[in-house]
Amino acid sequence: MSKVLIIGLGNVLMGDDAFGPSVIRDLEASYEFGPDVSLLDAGTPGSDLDSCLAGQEAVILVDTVRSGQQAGRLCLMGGQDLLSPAAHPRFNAHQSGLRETMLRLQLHGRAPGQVLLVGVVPSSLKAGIGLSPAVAEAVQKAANEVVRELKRLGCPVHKRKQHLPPNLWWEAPPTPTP
Amino acid sequence: MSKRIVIDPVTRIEGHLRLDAEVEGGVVRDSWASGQMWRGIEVILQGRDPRDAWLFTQRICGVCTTVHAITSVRAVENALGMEIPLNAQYIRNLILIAHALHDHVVHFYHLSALDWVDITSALKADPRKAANLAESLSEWPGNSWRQMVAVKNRLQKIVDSGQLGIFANGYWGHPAMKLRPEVNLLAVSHYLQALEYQRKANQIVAILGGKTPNIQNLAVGGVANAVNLDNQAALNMEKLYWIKDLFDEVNTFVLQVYLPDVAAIGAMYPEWLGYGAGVKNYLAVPDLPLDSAGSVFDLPGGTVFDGDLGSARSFESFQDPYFRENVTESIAHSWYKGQWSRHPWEEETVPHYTDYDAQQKYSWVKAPRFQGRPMQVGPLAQVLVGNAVGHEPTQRWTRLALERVSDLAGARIELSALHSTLGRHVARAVRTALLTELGLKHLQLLLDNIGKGDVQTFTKPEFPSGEQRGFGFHEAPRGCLSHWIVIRDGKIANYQAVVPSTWNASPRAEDGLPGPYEASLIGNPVADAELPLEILRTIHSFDPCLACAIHTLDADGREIATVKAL
Repeated sequence: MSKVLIIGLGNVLMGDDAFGPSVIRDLEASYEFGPDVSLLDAGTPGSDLDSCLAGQEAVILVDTVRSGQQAGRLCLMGGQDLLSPAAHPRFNAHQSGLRETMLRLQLHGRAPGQVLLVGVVPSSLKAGIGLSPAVAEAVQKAANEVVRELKRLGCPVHKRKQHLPPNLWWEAPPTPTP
Repeated sequence: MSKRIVIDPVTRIEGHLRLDAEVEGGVVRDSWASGQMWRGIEVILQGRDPRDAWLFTQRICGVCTTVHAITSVRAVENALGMEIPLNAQYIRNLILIAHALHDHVVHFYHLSALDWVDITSALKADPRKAANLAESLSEWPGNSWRQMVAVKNRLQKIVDSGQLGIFANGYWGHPAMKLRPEVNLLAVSHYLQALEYQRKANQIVAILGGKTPNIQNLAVGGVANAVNLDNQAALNMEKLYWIKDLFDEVNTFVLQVYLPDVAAIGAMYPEWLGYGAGVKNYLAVPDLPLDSAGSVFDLPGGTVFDGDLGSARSFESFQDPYFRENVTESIAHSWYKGQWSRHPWEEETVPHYTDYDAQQKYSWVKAPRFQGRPMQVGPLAQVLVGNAVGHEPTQRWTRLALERVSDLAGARIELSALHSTLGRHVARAVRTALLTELGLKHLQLLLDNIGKGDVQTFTKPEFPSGEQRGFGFHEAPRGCLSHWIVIRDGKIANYQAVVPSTWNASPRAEDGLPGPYEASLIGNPVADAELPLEILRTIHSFDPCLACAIHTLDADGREIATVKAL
């Protein structure tokens, strides 16, 4: 068993970019984790990602990825694939942040030992709230992939007896102004 | 014959900025800054509960979460005419100070040092000489010969493995790179050590804010922290001492490493204290309030016009009409519908993209103006305003920094040299040094106030019916940030964020005068138009973060760049 961080990246105000945070909220609502697993909806942390990833033994990232594939399609990527500038599919705007962070931490000797990216191909990344139907459908699948990876890493994870409603505060609708 | 070069994107962090520069005879003759994406966050806020606005605004930009959160609650409190408990002010101030310490260290070492430091040259350094040099510059214990050997070996290993990665976009061997191998090795060593210390500063934000990024402890009316010095679950003595230890460690790094390094770079590239001034109108807002109303501050704010410190005029309070009445935004050259210049409360945000046309509309960034004039914001504005209004700690740290640069350069460097590319770096280091004092001061203020038996951290806001207008400002690491809100019957009717990078990356307004980025490049040397390192030096000195000014995900197939600089 190792110290694991599950980190959701993406902007909750930019359509399907809310995928990463949504998966984190879904996992929090559906599962109980051991003390060595932490979950973080990190938004779009740029260089702050250093602080999040440093010293972790394993990291599972959930994010959107740019690709020619169909929207809603999941894509798993690990290790060196994440560091290669020639890696396909291309990531979104957080890409350079993630790659730079990983390489900087390697140079510093504090990079996480194992990294898995669970990515989804987005349909729309325009300003606005709410996932497109295809991407919303992938939330559950991505959560399953995260759980599978946790089990592979030897981390205990249990389904909650009673599901909580996921805390998707950004999806609460505004009321029209009088 | 002039040559047009396009650099896209310019920021090392999230965001997207395009620069066009006309170069003739190795010098930039004209330039245009363009935000390449639109982000309609303000539209999302309409109709929402003003008490929730900060949760949304802190998601505008992943790098500046905290600053948008605090500015938002200040704007709502201003609209309601509220005062907040002293403990809440101090806790917010501590978060702002720790965030700024973190941000400035990251900016210098991780986002801009490689404009000046040649990584590959460090491999040729003699570690013994590097350690000796370090000892002559600072008493920092992390500069030993062993440390230099270890860093050099680690760097060599990365180069040998072909994984030069992050540095692969560096401008190695560029004729504008002038540092000796030993200085470069020392800088790489500090680049790595800075990772530890920026993390410690971030940890302070996490202790007080619940987590980072995206703090959890704010509320319109104060903060959600429970204060109880003896309770494990509350903000207690143990946590406050932990914060003190972290400040002590970060402060030592700032004073023994960051400030000396900036002074050394200033002395070794003295010509860059001459280029890059641009717009010499400066705007900074006061911050770190010391009372519950926001009328006494630890950091001064005000305006300076035409580089004349004698023209300085202060902002006195969170309510100051001198600020409230004088901010407008123009869309004369921005991709929005219409042709207007308006006060933020009166603005609308209706995107209308037309092709890039430097004579017409060419940016998603609006053009903010103060009394109709373009203004430079950021640490340089803070430091010049502080000197102009006689703020003793700002004057003291400025003097100390300029003396250091002068000693190393062997020439007298005056305050006027700060109107420049490297002047912005020196000013940022001065501001950071000043913040090292204030972190410990505000921690003590909080302790003293709790010691008096005051544990209040929140005042409940009351929303009357009808319309209220408010504004909140914060002097963020990148400069003056303001949020403007119109509340109608307890709901948000209009919301505008005028952010630091909008002031600095501003396109032209109706009068055709260039914004700060644009103006700063004019006269800038460019030795090799294919490798425009000099342009990046000047733009990076502003600490550009376009994520909140505008936002897009670089559109596939839109390869307009002739030079890519990451």
